[in-house]
Amino acid sequence: MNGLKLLTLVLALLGSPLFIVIAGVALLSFSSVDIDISVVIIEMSRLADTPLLLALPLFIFAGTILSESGTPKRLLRLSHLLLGWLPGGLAVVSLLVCAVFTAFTGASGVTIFALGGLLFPALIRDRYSEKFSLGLITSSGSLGLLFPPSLPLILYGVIAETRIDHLFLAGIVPGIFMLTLLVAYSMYKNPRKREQQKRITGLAILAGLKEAAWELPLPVIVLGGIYGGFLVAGEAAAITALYVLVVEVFLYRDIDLQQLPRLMVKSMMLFGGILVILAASMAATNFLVDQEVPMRLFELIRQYISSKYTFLLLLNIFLLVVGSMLDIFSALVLVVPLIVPIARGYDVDLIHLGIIFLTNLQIGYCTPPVGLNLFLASYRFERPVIQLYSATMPFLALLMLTLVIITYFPLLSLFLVRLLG
Amino acid sequence: MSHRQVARQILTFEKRLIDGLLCLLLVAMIVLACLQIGLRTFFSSGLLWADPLLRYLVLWCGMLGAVVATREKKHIAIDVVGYLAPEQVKPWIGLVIDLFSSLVAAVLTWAAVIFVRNEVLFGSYPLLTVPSWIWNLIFPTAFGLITIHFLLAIAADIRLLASQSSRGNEAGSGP
Amino acid sequence: RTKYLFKVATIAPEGSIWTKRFHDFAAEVEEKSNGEVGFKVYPGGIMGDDRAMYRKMRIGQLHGGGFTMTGIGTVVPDFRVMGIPFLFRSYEEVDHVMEGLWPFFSKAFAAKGLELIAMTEVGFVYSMSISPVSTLSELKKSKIWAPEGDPVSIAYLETLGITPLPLGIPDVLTSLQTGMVETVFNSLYGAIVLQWFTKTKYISDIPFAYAYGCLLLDRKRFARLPESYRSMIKETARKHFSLLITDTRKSNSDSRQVLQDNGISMVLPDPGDVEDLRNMREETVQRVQGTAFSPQIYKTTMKLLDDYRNQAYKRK
Ligand code: NA
Ligand code: NA
Repeated sequence: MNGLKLLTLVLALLGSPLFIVIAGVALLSFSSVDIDISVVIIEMSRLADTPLLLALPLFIFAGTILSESGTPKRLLRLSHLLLGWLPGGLAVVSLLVCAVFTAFTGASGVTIFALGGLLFPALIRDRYSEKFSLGLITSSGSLGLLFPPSLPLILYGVIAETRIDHLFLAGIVPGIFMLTLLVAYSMYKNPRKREQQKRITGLAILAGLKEAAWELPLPVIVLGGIYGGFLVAGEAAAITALYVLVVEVFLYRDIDLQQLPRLMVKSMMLFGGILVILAASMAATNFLVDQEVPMRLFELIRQYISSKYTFLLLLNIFLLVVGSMLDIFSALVLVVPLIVPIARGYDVDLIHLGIIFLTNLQIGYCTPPVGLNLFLASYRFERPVIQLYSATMPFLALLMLTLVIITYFPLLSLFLVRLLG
Repeated sequence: MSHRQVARQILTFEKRLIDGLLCLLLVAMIVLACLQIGLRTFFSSGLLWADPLLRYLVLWCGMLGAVVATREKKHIAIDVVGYLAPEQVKPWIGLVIDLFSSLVAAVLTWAAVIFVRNEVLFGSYPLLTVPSWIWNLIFPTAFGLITIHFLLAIAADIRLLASQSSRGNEAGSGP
Repeated sequence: RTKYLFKVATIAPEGSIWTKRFHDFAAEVEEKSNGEVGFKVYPGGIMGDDRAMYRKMRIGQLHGGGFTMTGIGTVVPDFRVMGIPFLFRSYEEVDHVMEGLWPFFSKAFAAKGLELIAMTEVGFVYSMSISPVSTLSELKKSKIWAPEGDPVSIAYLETLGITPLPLGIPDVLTSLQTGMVETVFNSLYGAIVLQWFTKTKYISDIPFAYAYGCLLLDRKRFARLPESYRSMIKETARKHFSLLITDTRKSNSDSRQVLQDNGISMVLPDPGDVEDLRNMREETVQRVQGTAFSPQIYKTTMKLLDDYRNQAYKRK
């Protein structure tokens, strides 16, 4: 039996679909203790009892529409008009736009492909060094995961059974803090010799605002709906999906009706890929629960680690490794169910834990050797991965600094929750 | 018509059916969720069955989406070794992976059949007078289709390997 | 070593009176059987809700469960009969009817392969709201929760002209917090244990209905035990679970003070409305009888209740 499980692990490393690997392990495990394998499907069927899940497909759909429309361009143009005059203006614009865009579309590589393609030449034109520009775009590809309505944040809420509106609140201050550090660094790296900027008139700003007029209310709908108490996350997602659909297809006409079915199928394919991993991992987790593994694991860890802070330190190291190996959804689905009971034992607030998870996994996107953003950027900008390793280093250092602060100052995450929740 | 043509037509039909169904389900999800908000906000009422139905729609969308992900080979995977492997070995790795995946998917299908059979025998909780086993039919259906797509991938792998080795032979026998 | 292991799950949280008494019961059974009979407990819904628990019992992953009436009522519909709104006026009435119905319930569960070990109690439930609700028309304006899979209370609310939002118990707290529901039903202790009281600042001071559950074991597995163990388990259960009922009632009455200390107001309903609410019961029964539960079990229940009330009247 263990031999078979080992073989499964090898097959996983060779590139088998992760849901197949996890389901395979679950099936093997249950049959090894003589429990009918249909328990795997019983666990999967519990997904139909999870009202929170509705938010995922609908936000994925809205995100897919947004990334295939003219939104990135309009958003960029407007922020450039508003912030371009700042020292390091373009870099600041890049960071902000990437963060907002990633929050809405998830870090699925869309940010690097859609926005990066526009930003990179512009940064070079503005005489930023190639190294800085590449590093900025690569690390911005997953920036904004802490801001609502980030999909990984929702998924964490689904798995850890914590309040999604609280997670959304908790992510805001750490997210802004992280952004501020990166913005400050970008301002410092502002190229000395710069072409004289064209003066930006109020009229141009007005035109930019008018152009993006239909997209600007989106954050208000999501945040206002949820915090105004009108909508739960799933409903906010439904309204967002409907709104985005109407705006991009009928008002901006960026996407014509014939294209729509393809985008719908594509977004449901993305959702399906996540859902089957979630389903399989529910089954695998149930085996662990059945065998009382989380409890024993906690007792074992408890013997060696008594302090909450040591636990958090080791957790961070563990998550950084996991984050650099796995994509964010699989990492969440596999690790959260194991860590949550242990973290509870150490009295870690589950909302704070969520922010720690997300920050780690976000960093994991840019961590050598296998961070996804590095490969995406290498592919998109046709640069060797090694060059991206070094380009991302300063940004990575800043992100690590934020991680430490987020981890050891829980109030940074919990402050808004306590104030408004 | 040859077997191959018939098979291709069936596959095209399956693709259209699944894609069409996905669009329909997604639109239904958006409409139903928004309708429910509207009813609640303006008439302080709602449809008793809307929320449970929405949850099944989510499940159906996800499972059918997974069928599409299998068809398009877009499943999430860790492919560190696969990425680093030498070019000639890659088709073999692909074959092994697809063999393994079809096996697991077939067992999942079987488990889903047992599950649905149990629901027929002991299930309850009808929704809109439709018994629970029908709502759960998505599990054997989706896993069944996923198995078929993995099997088709095996066939494609074998064809690729065969063409490679014949090309290799030609190259070897050439002057 | 444990020769006969029972894996038992429940949605009741660890540390609540229900799991505490269960642990006492399990410990005594283990001791009396010299460790031959053992229990593994999965509390707090980690094995899923009642439906998932029942599914897992069918395939043998679990061998028992502490079920709620709404959850197991879909398997044995007659078990729902005591949950009819405004049926009981006191716990004495409940006890009398429960004793009389036990053989019927036991038989109905046995037919589904389940052994009824003990009845458990949540207690009388009250309607609890985010805003003060003292009249029927105010109640109708509020977004009201109903337990998922409980056709009796859903039909009752529909008779009142209300479309409730059915949700599983684990989802209620979040829905209260996000404002998706505004009025819920629970016992006073239940509202504290499940943290619902953090949102429901107003409680209508009239017991709406009686809520309860039961401990079931897999009948086949139970039958494999030697006869002496079977009767020992039932006897031990009788002892500990009647203590649990006492605990529950005490916790519920203590909770009234706790809730008031936490700034929760007990709102007295309008007497005319109370009469209307009571009168809706008959109409509801007519609507759901035959689908939600059988007419026979309803007749039996009403007979037991009338007998008790007549005797109580004579005693006075
Ligand atoms: Na659940
Ligand atoms: Na990803």
